[in-house]
Amino acid sequence: MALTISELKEVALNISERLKVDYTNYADGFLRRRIAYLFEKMAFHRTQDLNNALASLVKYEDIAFYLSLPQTELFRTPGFWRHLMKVLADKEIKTIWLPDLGSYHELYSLLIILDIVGRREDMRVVANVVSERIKNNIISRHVNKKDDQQDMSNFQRLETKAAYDQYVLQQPDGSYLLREGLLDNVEVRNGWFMNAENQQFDLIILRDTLISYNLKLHHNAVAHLADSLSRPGALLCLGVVERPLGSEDRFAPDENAVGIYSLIA
Amino acid sequence: MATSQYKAIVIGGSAGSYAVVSKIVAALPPDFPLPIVICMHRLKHVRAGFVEALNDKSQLNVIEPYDKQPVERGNVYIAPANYHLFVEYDATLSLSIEEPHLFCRPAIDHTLSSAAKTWREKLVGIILTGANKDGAQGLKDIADRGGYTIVQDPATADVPTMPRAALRLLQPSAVLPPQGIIDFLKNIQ
Repeated sequence: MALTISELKEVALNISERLKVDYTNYADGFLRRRIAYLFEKMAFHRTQDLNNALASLVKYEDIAFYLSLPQTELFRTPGFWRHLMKVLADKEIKTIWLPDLGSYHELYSLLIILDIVGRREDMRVVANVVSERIKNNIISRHVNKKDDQQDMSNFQRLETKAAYDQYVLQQPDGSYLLREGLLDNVEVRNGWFMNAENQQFDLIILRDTLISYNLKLHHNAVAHLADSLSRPGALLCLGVVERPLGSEDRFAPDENAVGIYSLIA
Repeated sequence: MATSQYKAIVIGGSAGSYAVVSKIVAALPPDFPLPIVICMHRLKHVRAGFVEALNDKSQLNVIEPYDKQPVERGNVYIAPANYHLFVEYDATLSLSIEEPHLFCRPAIDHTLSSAAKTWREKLVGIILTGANKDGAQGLKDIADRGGYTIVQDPATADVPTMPRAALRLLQPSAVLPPQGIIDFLKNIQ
């Protein structure tokens, strides 16, 4: 179903009010595609169907789930994770925030990396998730079986002696789970990170999320992330095609890795 | 051909298209009047070297764009590995990690279709050699909005699947070998 511009605005506004996420300032093209996906998944034929679902406690969560954009692979851009392994050797990094998870992939990738470099037990990790279903997937340590080949291929590119099947374990019923214990010291919070009270972190990983925002929200989000970094030298990790627009003067890019920025002040 | 007739060129290709794209960018003069947006299927882990090699041959500036980067003449924009590349209505580029389309990310259909909506009849769309049908619908979208469409002659393609898929969906403005495509582009004043 193709929405008109005014319908799209109405839908974005209604969803924003209900989910407490500012979809009105998501990038137009992305929002249009994601809402089309939502309509298809939930078999909506008109905007009133969406409004009815938003009022329903059960269906409202489905909306949050389908609007969230998942990653589709562990260790996406393995070069980033290889570099992060070196970065995490810095013992001054004690707290990490993943402000907006659309799936388990970034968090699990981080936790596996932390375990490989021996920093998992002394690190505090906080993740924000809008969708309760995604939060429950994460807590249940669920891993998509169908992504297995890609995940293993990416893991091999980490060039570590560790074995993938130490971390992603096949169960007797054929499903896959993240190894038990890796989620210790991890707090998964419900709610959009832009509404979160200001806490300070030594490292923030928010890759390939700003690309879904329009310029205004991008600027506001980067400013919020900059304010959430604990000290000069604290790190912000973005996707390789992203930049900290609107706060460029507050960050210095890492010369050795695309997408990693150090807070200047 | 009048300068004001077109605002951009968009090209899609897959298997075998790197060689054609190399020839195209090498042949175009530094004052080529239109920006070029290229979506090629590519190995997701090959980042370094791909664009640099094209840049070495080119008198235009070949780059992988950042998200929200405006489209400007003098530049050749290559879709980054493992991201979809879209053209927005304000002629900026947007990138996405949405699901693969026809098992492809970047997907040629996404780039061409979005470019069609932005530039409509002021767009030249080109489909090159490739091993699947990604891009055929995108080229049709360009044609449906009055843009000029070119399909690489399947007889000259390393893998003719993509050009043939396009030819099944639409009658393009021209079917040309690589040198014919280059000559067409060089004649754009």
